[in-house]
Amino acid sequence: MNFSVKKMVYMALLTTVSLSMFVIEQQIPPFVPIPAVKIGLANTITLFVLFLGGKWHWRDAVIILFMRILLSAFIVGQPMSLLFSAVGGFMAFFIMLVSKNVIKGEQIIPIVSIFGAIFHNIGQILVAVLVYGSFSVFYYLPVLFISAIISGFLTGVCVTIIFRKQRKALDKIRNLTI
Amino acid sequence: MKKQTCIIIILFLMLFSIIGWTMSVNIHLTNSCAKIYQNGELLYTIDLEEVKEPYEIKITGDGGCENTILVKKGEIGVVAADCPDKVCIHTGFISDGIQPVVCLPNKLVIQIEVKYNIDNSGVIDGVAK
Repeated sequence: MNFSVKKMVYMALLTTVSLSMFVIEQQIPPFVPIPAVKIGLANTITLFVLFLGGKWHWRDAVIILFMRILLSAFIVGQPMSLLFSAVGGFMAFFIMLVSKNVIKGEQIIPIVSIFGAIFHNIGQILVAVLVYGSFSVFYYLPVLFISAIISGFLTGVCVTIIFRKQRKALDKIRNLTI
Repeated sequence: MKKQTCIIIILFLMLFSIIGWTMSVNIHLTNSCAKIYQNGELLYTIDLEEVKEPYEIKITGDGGCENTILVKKGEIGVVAADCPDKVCIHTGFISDGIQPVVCLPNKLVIQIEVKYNIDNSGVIDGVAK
């Protein structure tokens, strides 16, 4: 793996942005009485790096995701949240990487984002069933699917808009020419 | 895989989720009791119909979070908690559905389950729609 200093700086910046989005989301009071329903803004960074291309590889996205999960667990302070975040985050990343290469068409970012969100929630419910030893958390699966589809779509659309505008700045980041 | 196939899959998932949720809200368990679990261990079993006076149960978890559960005749719910998100309080009271009351930071799960008959056939007999 070849890391230039420029790329490391960009990756650190993206990790910081992802982390701040996570922290901001934590401050929003839950608008439905269901655990783990959230907008998932931190996923926009993962999507951005995945679809950037140029000199950016999906390995960079994994590293940024891993760092964000690790650091966010330190911020929250509970080891349980690390387990939930990690399982959800990596399952989501796996399906996003696979679907990015498998789905043919234009404008697939919202679809990839939706699949990522769905798998993120599936992963979290699986951890909940294992940790709490109670199958009743499966009750939340339908609602979480609905929330994942909506929030996945919204974040995917945000990233699509970012890619549509800001062409010059994006090309510079893509090719690390700043 | 084409993009259109994926859109159809997603729409189906949405439809099934909405149907599934509507159906799950309408399930009423008869012959049931409330069970309080923490960390996967059963702490209390309460028959809600036999509660005469409302009483409170306080549960503390590691990390210092405390939940106050109020048990009334036919209902159970969390009324006070010092966890950060307060989802457990907002869930309200449950009586005979399959929705649980959970407090994630405190690893607390309150759910309604059917009472088992002597011949252990309670699970099938007990669900009525």
